[in-house]
Amino acid sequence: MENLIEVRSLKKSFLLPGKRKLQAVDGLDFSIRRGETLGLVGESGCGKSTTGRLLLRLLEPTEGSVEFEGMDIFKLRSGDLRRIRPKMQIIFQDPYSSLSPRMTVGKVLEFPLRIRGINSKERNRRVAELLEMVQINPTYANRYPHAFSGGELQRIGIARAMALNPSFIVCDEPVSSLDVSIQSQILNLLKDLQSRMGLTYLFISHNLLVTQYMSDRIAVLYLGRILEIAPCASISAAPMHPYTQILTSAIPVPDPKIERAKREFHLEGEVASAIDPPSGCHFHPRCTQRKEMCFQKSPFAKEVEKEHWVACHLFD
Amino acid sequence: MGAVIVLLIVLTALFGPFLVPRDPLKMFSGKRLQAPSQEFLLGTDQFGRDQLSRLVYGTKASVLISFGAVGLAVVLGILVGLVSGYYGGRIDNLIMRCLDVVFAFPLLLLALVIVAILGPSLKNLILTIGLIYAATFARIVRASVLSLRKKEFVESAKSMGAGNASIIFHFILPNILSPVIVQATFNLSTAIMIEAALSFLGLGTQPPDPAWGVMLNESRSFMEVMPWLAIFPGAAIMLAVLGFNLLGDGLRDALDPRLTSS
Amino acid sequence: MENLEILKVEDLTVHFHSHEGVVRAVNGVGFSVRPGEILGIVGESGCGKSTVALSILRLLAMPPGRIVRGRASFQGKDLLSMTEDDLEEYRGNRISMIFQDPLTSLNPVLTVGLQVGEVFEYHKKLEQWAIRQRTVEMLKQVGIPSPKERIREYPHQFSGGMRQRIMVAMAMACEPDLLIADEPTTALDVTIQAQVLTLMRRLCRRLGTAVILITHDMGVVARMCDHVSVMYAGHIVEYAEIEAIFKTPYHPYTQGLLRCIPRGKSQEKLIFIEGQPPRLTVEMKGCAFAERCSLRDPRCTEESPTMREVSQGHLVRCFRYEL
Repeated sequence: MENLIEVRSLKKSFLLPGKRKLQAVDGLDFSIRRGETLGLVGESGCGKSTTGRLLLRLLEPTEGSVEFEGMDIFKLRSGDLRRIRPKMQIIFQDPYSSLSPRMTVGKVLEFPLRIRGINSKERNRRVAELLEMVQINPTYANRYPHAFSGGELQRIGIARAMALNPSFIVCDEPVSSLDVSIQSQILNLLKDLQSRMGLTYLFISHNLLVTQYMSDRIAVLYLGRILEIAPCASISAAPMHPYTQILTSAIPVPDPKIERAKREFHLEGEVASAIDPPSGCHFHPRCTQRKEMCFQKSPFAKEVEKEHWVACHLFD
Repeated sequence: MGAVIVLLIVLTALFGPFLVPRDPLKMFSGKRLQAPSQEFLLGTDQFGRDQLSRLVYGTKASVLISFGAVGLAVVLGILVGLVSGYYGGRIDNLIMRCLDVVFAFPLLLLALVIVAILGPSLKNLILTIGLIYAATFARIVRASVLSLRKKEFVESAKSMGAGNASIIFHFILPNILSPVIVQATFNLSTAIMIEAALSFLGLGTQPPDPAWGVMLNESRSFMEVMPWLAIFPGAAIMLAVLGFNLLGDGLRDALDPRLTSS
Repeated sequence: MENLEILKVEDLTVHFHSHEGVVRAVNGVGFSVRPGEILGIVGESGCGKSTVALSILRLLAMPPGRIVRGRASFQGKDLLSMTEDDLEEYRGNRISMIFQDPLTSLNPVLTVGLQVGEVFEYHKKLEQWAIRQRTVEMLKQVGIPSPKERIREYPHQFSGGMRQRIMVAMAMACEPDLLIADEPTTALDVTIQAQVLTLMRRLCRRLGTAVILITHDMGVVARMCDHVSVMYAGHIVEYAEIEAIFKTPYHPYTQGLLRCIPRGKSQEKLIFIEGQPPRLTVEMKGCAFAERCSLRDPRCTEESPTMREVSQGHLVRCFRYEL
């Protein structure tokens, strides 16, 4: 099957005290091909973490469907769901809080194997194998998380995600909490594993540069909607949506010539809130190119170039 | 330090009765109200009973009641707190309202009332104090569970298809034990005080059974002339409370996983 | 020859006393800042850059921190050895500081107007009406909309980016000669970060304020700074003009750092630096980076290199450049 994951009209809202509604995800449509890395990039509050968890059914949606290998995961009964869960796993952002402080690293990796009924001898072998896969000395299996550094903990988190031989992994900001020199170690490890084991990734991040390094295609998220989705090279070379353009120019690049050449930054306003989103196109209050229509109607996504979709009235 | 004291107390409770020189209930009529001497190390009371033996025997009552009550409270509290925190919703609301009722009353008053109704006996005492403390533990456990439930390692376990029981056992329970243990040691010390207070008021251990609170009560009339009748049981109570508190402090530091070396 | 620098730090050494031993956070750090220039101090977590910033204004908690030795000459006077009373004259007035987390650096129970006004009140001794006027003016300058109304609001009623702007307002209110900014935009979204950085640069250029910008982000450095000092394990390992640092980095750590930043091209593999930064509780023999350096010599683990000028205005601390 070409598309491992198909997302259709996915929506998720949270009810807040005082009867207010937070529309975290507001109608997502996209697919992820087998073996590719789809990058999901956006600033805080855009709904990217919520999306990641919806794809794994760690959250229930308000509307919409997510098809994994052709089956809608939200319609599966618990038995079937339990059967496909090993195929889709998650890696978290904060290495320090994503592992239980009272479990040795070995037990952490053993747990998924144990609940699948794998026998003790095989479990031990697999735990050692997993640790080696992420370049951690297998004899450290009986140490507790606090004995490891952030980078090592993140690798253990990756090993945990790999324990059940998944085909799809949601990487939720996996390097955002790490130092730059450690980030590259982890990113390379992820890339290695992907090519060796044929994995498919959803790579979530607020850092466009890191996302570009990792992804084949990138989706730009703003207030729960995808504004643009395109192959990685197009997003950086020719971003079409006004927000994507702002985003690409806002990110400081380690090259003084490029930075000096950027015009004075022109984006006004704060990131809007998902509690009371603006009408029509969510981005219109901050858009320098807005028209009358942008207040009223939400734009639909259009394929402006091959594989390059934009949701903006400028392209109507 | 606290551990040493507690250990001493527990040992005394267990083995003391075999080591004491005399039967705590036996009255030596000729030797009433004697000051501490070589024969009676801690003196005698108005009935001529050996204070040392009584003190030692009294340890048993204190230990039994405090450990029993706290033990009951911990088990009950964890159960209730787990259910309330993990499953939430209406069950949680119901449980929390019940707990609120319990907390509305001052501890000692509540204990007094219940014991007055049920009648003073060792069993009832343990039950009463235990139930009341269970509420405290339930609240602590529930708070811990609420925050643990959202942690990423729980999400990870869910993504692997782990069932609720498995998650509670492997991830939630180990992480709530630390605050519970520390709280338990502090509650041990207050339990001793409550038992002493109730015995003092006559609602706890009944005379002639020896208990520190009883001994304090009985010493009231003679305090000015024979101060040792009050000093020794009082000191015992203080020592026990101190010991448990120190133990609690020490445990709290020791159980912090960041300080344990791997 | 006239002394051009407005701040000159020499041999700054700071230790922390923890139950694991003495942490040598900053070792013999020296640099200077010229009037109106933006100096970047860049390094990863634990390299000591924040400690350096806090030490200059003696804002470190001492104990457990201790400034073992060093001088910080600001317009001729040593900040590290003057009395606390004298130093108060400088803080917030001639030298200001802004911090990373806008949530915790503003007092939640005081209105924004009071907090910004406090600076005027303390240092300029103005009348109330003048304070209010200057406060509103300052908030306008940093881009807070409707400042007259908003001075009555509390910090939690502003977004993160706005709060950081308020911090900038507080810092620049007395038109200081030097601004120390410790990771000022790290906690902000990218588009907000760009706004705040632009604001800082514009305001500082206009008022002629020199800036020490502490960051871990080489991109921010490229955007903002005139000169850069690279820090590793409590030492400054390289110092150069902005173009030089990126075009011809000399120190192996700087080279490694620049090589492992993704720049968006999906094809090239990032070359990463092996290993981890050293524990600062151990007295290091030799170069602090030697352990991770792919170009090391036996000499590197025995002796410590000193800072040398390798080309015009470009200093490196590395044996490879000692002739």
